[in-house]
Amino acid sequence: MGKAKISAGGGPIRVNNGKIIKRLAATSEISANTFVQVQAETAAVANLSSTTGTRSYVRVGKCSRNRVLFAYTDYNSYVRLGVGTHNGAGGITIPTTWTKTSKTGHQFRICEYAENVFILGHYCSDDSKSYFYRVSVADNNTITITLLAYISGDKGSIWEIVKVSDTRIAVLWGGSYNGMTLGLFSISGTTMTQLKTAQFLYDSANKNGADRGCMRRLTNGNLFVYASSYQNSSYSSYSGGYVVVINVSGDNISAGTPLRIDASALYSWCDCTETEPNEVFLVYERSNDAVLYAYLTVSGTTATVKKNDFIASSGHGDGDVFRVIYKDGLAWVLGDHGSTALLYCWIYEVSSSAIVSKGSFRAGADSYEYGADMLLTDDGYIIGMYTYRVSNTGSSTVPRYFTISSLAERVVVATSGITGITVNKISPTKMGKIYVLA
Amino acid sequence: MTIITDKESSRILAVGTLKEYWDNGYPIITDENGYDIAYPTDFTTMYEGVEVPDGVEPEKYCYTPADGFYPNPNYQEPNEYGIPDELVTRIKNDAVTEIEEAVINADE
Repeated sequence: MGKAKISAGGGPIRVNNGKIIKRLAATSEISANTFVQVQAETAAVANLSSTTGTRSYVRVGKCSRNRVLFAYTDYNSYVRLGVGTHNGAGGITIPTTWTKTSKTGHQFRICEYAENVFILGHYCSDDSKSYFYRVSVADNNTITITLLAYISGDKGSIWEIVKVSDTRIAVLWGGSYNGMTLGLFSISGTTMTQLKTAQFLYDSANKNGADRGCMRRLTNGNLFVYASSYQNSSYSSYSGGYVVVINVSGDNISAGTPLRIDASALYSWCDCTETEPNEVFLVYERSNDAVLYAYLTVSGTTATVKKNDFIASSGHGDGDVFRVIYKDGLAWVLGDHGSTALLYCWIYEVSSSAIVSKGSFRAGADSYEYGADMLLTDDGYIIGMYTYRVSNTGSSTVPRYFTISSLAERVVVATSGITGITVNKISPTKMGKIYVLA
Repeated sequence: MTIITDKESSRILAVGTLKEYWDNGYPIITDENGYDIAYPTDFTTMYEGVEVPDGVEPEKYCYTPADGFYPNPNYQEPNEYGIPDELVTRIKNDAVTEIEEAVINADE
């Protein structure tokens, strides 16, 4: 029987039920047919602010020098922004002073535009305009907010802002009865100019709408969009989750033919990530009761589903999907379970040949729908943020951060005939543990 | 007291004490609960040494030196669900539509 050689950091070894089985040395050998799992754990969870909000949306942005931009909507629906610093061991120095916008924006998004510079966008229902700001973070953590533009007309909430080039961004709107809208904008200094908009998942005859969505820029330069659509008068034929690939060419954008992924996806919280060039791992909520993934390949504006399966089966309960991030072959999915208010992180090994579940763990408790996000730091931590409900109804919430151990650690199944497996980049200084399951 | 108002609407965003300034010129106001917020100077106006009458609260009132304090004409009490009003309206409309559809289907 072969041996699997593992180059790894030491540390306590536990299985999922907490029983310690074995401690691995820095370099260990294990027998084949042994399931070796590098288990991530939540390293820290704490309040970012004691200021309560109501069902806040939250976002995190990566800054230089291990700093994180934290953003959430406060009790008056203003977007509050503060900078925290990761101490390299899972802890966060939380913001002491926050700043905030002066227009209300219950739902908002931020986009990393340059180092320590973000584009913040939100729809303001008070005046039916979408506002876009340049948010810059100085070395001393002060934040400067500059208005770039406001766009009139109700296009719904902003579901994603993606950097297209050094001077351009794309914005995805949805949530009105006008389907989804994608806008291409140029940015020069503090001026933001609309170049083109495209509307899709819209049927004027049936007054179809669309809501929730996610978007990523692909290697081929096009934009991958997933959104769920609905009918105003029924939830039948046109409802479902659709993928639309948007062609970006110069100042123009054009939407490809929508591909229905799931007929039952409705108001579907979702996110996606490009795992290999023009291959996408999409995770979405289906009809308030399940979480699914779809693995797709994209050629031009044509997407093809290669695999579609459950992550959390029917009965999971309002499985909102907030963020999917990918590195070193692993996709990390952040979502919640509405009926128990638990925040989950699911781990999947994703490649064009196989998609394998590597388990899940609880990232937080008493989370409230709408609010969670996470990012990957340069030193291998996940730093996340979620809305912690103070009251059961969610009418009072506070923003919390959580940190998760290294992403660089991999999960390996040693099978018969394999004579050597290397688990790369495991650092004993990280919080990750090695599990040897008999 | 120090008051921060929205430049466009003159509605009061904060009532508190001026603590200090960020390097970018944003004044940091400590509110009555002890929280510090830096207010962007592009969108807000700061007034110092203002006598604030009882009952004046951020969002519910506006302030200008010329007009003093006056009720914010656009202020609305938050709905009981804590979500945007338009979302409440949509949920209600969709629920009514579903019931109507069910009744129609039941009659067929």
